[in-house]
Amino acid sequence: MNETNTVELLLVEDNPEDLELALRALRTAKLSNHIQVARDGAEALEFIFCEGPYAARKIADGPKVILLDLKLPKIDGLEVLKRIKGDVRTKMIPVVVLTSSKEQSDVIESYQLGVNSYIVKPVNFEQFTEAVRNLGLYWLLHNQPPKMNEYD
Amino acid sequence: MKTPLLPKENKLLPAGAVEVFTETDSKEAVLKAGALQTAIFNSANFSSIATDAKGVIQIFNVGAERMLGYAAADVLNKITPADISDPQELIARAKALSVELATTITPGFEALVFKASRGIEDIYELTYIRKDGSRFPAIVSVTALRDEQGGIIGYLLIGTDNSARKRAEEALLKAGALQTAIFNSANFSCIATDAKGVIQIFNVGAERMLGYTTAEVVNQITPADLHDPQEVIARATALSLEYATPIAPGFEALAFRASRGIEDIYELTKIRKDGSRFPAIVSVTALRDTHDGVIGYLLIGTDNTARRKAEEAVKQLYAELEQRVIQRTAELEAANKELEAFSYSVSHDLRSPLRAVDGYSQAVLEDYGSQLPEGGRRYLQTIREGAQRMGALIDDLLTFARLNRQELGKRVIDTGKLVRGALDELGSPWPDRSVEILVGDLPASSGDPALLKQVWLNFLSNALKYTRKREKTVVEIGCMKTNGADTFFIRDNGTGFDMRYADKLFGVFQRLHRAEDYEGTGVGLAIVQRIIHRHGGRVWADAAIDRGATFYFTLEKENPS
Repeated sequence: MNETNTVELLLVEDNPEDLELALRALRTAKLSNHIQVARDGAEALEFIFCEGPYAARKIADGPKVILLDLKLPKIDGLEVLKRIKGDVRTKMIPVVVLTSSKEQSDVIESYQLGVNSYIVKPVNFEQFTEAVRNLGLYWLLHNQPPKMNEYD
Repeated sequence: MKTPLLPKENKLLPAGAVEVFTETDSKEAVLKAGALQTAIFNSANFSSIATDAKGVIQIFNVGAERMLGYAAADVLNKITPADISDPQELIARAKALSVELATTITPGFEALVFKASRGIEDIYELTYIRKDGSRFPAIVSVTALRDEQGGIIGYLLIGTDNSARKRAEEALLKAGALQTAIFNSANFSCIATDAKGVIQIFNVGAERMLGYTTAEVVNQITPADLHDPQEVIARATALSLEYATPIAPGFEALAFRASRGIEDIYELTKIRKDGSRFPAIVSVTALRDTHDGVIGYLLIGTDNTARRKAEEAVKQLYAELEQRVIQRTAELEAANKELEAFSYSVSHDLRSPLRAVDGYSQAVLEDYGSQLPEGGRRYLQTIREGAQRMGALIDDLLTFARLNRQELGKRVIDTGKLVRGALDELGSPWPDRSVEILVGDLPASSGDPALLKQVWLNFLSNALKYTRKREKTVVEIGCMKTNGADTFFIRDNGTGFDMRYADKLFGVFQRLHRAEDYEGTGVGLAIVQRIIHRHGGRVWADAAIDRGATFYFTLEKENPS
C-alpha cells in the first residue's frame, strides 16, 4: 500500500534494549515494515526535516507517525516535539510520546506542545507489546492523516 | 536741693531721661555722670533710683519704672524709696539696725540708707511694693552720693527683681516627699538647673552615675557639659531644622523642647568624670513660677546600658534567627529540588533496565521456551515477577514521594460516590470469591478528591487482599463520631494482625505478612497515612490475628473535650 521509500513509523529511542524490545513488539504486531530508527534527538530532527544524511528525502514522504522517547542524548524529546509542532511542514505528523516517565510535568508539557498521545512504557513486557501493537494499529491503520505534499 | 549732685555736661544720657530731669536744678547735678552710669541707668533690668539727702526721689530710671509700675513723674520729688518698701520689713530692719549699731534708727528712709550714710556698702533684700499693690522681692544695693568735701548730697539705690530666683529657690525647696524620694534615689540621676542651665541640684544618683560630687558641678557647669559634644551638636542641628530657629549646641539643645512646654525624653551618651561613657535616657521638664515663667529645668536620667545591651542581644538573636531561617529555607529548597530531580531520574531511568529484564526473559520464554526444562522456565518466570514487583515498588515510592510536593485541591466530596468509584475501579478481581460489601451512611467530607480516592482504593484493596482465604468476605464501610469529628471506618473479616506490631503498620516498606502469603510493596498504608496527615486528620487501626482488622480515619481536627 506504500512506496518503498516511504517511512511509515519513526522510532526515536536511545536505549538499545528498549529499542530491540520495541522492534520485537512491532514485529509481533506485524508493524515492522518501513520503520526508521533515530538514536537521539538530533538524528530525529535531521530525518524529519530532511537534513544532513537525509537531505535526499522529502518531508512529504512521512513518517505517518513518530514514536518519541523523552530522555534523549543531544536534543531531548520535548525539544524535538516542539520543533515538529512549531513547523507548518511537520506539525500535522502525529507524535506519540513513549516513555518511562509518569511525571506530571512531562505529561503536561508534552500536551502543551501538541503531542497526539502519551504512553507510559509498562515494565511488564506483555503489556508493553500490547501497548505498542494498539498504538501502531491505531495510528497506522485506523487514523486518517491529511495529505502532506502541499507543504513540500 | 539746689546743690549740683553730678557733673552738668553729660551728653550721653538718653533723651527721655534728660526731659524728665531738666525740670529742677537738683536734677542737673544728678546728670553729671559718666558712661558706665549711663549704661546702668539705661538698663531695663535694674531699677536705679537716686534721691536727695533726705531721701526724696530725684531720678527714677526705666528699669525702676518697669519693675515698680510707676512713671518717673509719679514719684519724682514726691516720695522716698521707703514708700515703695514693705512697712513691716522697714520696722524690722530699723529695729535690727538699732540693735546692731546701738543707736535709734527710725523705720523709714533712714532704715534703708543708714549703713550707706556711715560709709558702709550695703546690700540687702527686701520686698518692694508696686504701684498696683503687688509685691516682689528685690536685692537692693545702696550707695551714698557725696560732694567734693565728702558731704552727703543723696543716695543711689540700685535694685534687681529677685522674684525669679526666689521662686526657683522656693520651687526647688518646695519639693514634697515624692520629690525627696526621687532625689534620694541612687538609681536616677536628678539634676536641677536654673533657667540658664547652670546646675543647682545634683542628687546622689547623679553623683553615682556620673562620678562627680555635687560640689564639683553646682554653680559650675550645665548638663550639656556632661554629654557627648558631638551628640549635642547633632541634636542642636536637628532641633534647629525642626523648629526653624537657630538652637545653640549647648544646654539649649537639651532644654529647648521643655522650654516650649513639650515634655521631652531623649537618649544621649553621657560622659563620666573619668571620661567613660554610657547611654542615658533623660527626661527634661521645665520648672516654672506661678506666672509660667521658666525658672529652671529638671533633668531625670537613667542609665540605659543594661537595656541597650538586652536590646542589642535581642537584635542580634533576631538577626541570627533570621539568618538561620534563610539558610534553612534555602537548604530545604535545595533538598526539595534534589528530591524532585531524584524522582524524575528514578521515573525515567530506573524502570528501563527492569523492562529489559522482563522483556528479554519473556523473549527467551517465547523463542526458546520449548528447549528449556521446566525448572529453567520457572526461573525465568521468577525473574520476570521480581522485575515486575520492583516496577510496582518504584511506582509506589514515586507516588509516596510526590505526596509531599503535590498541592491539595480541597473541596467538598460526596464520600459515598467516592467509595463507589473506588470499588468500580477495583472491578471484580474476585469472580470465584463470595464477597459482601456493606456501605453505610457516609457524610460528605472535605479534601482532595484524587488523593482521598487513593486512600479508599488502598483500604479497599487491602481489605479484599487479606480476606482472600475466607470462605465469605465481608467488608463493612461506615462512619461514626469520635471526639466530635466524622470518623470513617472500613472493617474486614480477614486475617488481621498482631496489635503488638501496630506501630509498624504505616511505615514505608513495613509489612506484617510474608510476601508469599500476601503480595505487596509495604507502601500502601504509608501513602494512606501521608494523605490523611496532609488533610489534618488521623488514622489508626484495631485488629487481632485471624479476627479481621478495622481501619479508622478522620479528615478534620478532633475536640477531645
